Amino acid sequence: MLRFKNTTVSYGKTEILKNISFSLKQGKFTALIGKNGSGKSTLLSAAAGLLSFDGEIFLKGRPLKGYSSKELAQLRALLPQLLPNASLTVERLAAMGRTPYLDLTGRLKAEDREQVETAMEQTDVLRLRDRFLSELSGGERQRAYLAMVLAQNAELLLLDEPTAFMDVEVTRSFLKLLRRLQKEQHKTVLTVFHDLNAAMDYADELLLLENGRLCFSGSAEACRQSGLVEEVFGVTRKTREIYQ
Amino acid sequence: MNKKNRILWVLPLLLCAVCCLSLRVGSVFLSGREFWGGLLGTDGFSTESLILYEIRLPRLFGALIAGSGLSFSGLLLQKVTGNALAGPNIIGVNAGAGFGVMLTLFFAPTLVLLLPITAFGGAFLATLLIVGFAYHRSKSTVILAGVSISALLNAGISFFSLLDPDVLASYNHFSIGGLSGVQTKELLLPALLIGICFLIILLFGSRIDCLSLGDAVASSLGVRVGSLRALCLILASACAAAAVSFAGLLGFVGLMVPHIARRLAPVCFRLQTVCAALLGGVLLVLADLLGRVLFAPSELPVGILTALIGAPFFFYLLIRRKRYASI
Repeated sequence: MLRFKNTTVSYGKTEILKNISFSLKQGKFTALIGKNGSGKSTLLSAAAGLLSFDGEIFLKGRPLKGYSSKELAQLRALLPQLLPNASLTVERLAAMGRTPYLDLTGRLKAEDREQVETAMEQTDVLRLRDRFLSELSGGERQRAYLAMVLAQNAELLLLDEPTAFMDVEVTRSFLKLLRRLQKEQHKTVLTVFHDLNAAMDYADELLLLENGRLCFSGSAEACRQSGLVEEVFGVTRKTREIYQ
Repeated sequence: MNKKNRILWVLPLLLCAVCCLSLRVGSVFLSGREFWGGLLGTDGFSTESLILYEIRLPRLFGALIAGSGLSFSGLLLQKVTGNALAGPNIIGVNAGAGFGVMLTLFFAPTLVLLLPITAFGGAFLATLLIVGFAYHRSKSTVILAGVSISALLNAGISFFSLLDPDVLASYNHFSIGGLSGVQTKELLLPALLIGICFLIILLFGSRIDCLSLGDAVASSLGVRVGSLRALCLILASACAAAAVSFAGLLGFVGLMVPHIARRLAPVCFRLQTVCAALLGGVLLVLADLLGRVLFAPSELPVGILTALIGAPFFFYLLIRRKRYASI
């Protein structure tokens, strides 16, 4: 689905990602972990085609640079870390997820409306549909943006700390939703997690970044056994499987 | 009737009422019979016809065109920069137009007929310079580049005014802004330009809406953010430059009207654009009317009135700022 081949991303002369190579299989849930400043958000932005890079990135076997912005938006959706508090209602925000499928008039067709309704239902924001983003709590706003991302109906979901403002209960139901989407609709998910327990217990695969270099790519179990997490983060993992 | 439909009905009615008032009231009050007689020409070549067709109708059209143009400009600028304080002056429109006028007054004082063209040219070139510099850079770069270029051009204006103080008096007339002496023929090109910009803004309305989600989200939705922002800046500069070319440097319209438009239609940019067009017209027609009657037969320039009406009202809006205050 997604393949990085000797990819380097720089801001000016500073290399943020250094010679990264990995591939994500279709329908897998992959967690991207690493300390602050290790390049996780940059990797997601590069995968989304929002940054220039050296080396190659392939999406569905085609070079990322070969896609038009509209084609790309129909294949992958990105939920960044910082979500603006725009003057929009939840329903309008969710409807914006259909932008890649609309012509310049922006008129939603019946199919688009259906996708928007489904996305709002999946993220449990139907009752908030007429509320403005500024009237929502951090967790509710996060879910409203997730509705937009799901309405985009892309095969690859790139999520940057999607559960950052959610409480335990909402986090659990959201992770269940991602798992359902992954299994039923074969979505490929690449998400940044700061919660190591959630990442280890939940994801099929893990990518571990340290100072812009990929130091592990493989199954969660293999990562657990390697002891790399403890080495990189300097912590011992004791709590487990709270999200199951 | 929902709120959206109410707005679409009330604003045109309000605009019609203000326009009727503006045509009938002035240093000479026209009764209903005189007004219709003068307008339809049933009384032949009368004084009323002269007042209406030579003075009041051109002023009315001028106010409507300038009000709409400045409002579109402010609305677009506040959207693309994500800054509630952005207005036409922030992208160098005022400084560019002022510099163009100052150069004409200094080097070719006899060619006053060229002033609208040089004002437009100065405003548009200054903003193109800023757009060119800020293309594919951040939103704040647009503002900072605008401030820098404006400072440079304002220094040029001050320099030439120091060299020839007589030029300063003529320049002040332009910088205050006003609609007295506006002729229908000089409104045709600005009206056409602002009309075309209006249609383009409506066409790209749903894409422009996405800009409020920030560059990353908008890009991930397939919006070509850099190109769209550049297009918006060019449209904003064209609208404002067209308005100042015949109305001078009218302050506050481009800053205040977008705020009211967003209040009336907080979610949809297209509806905000329509509201801004109508509201900009209402504000300038009203200010022009007050300018003509308050100290009649003397006249107060419309630029002073827009600030006098606008500043307290804007202040009131800021105090009552609520949920949809964000851009």
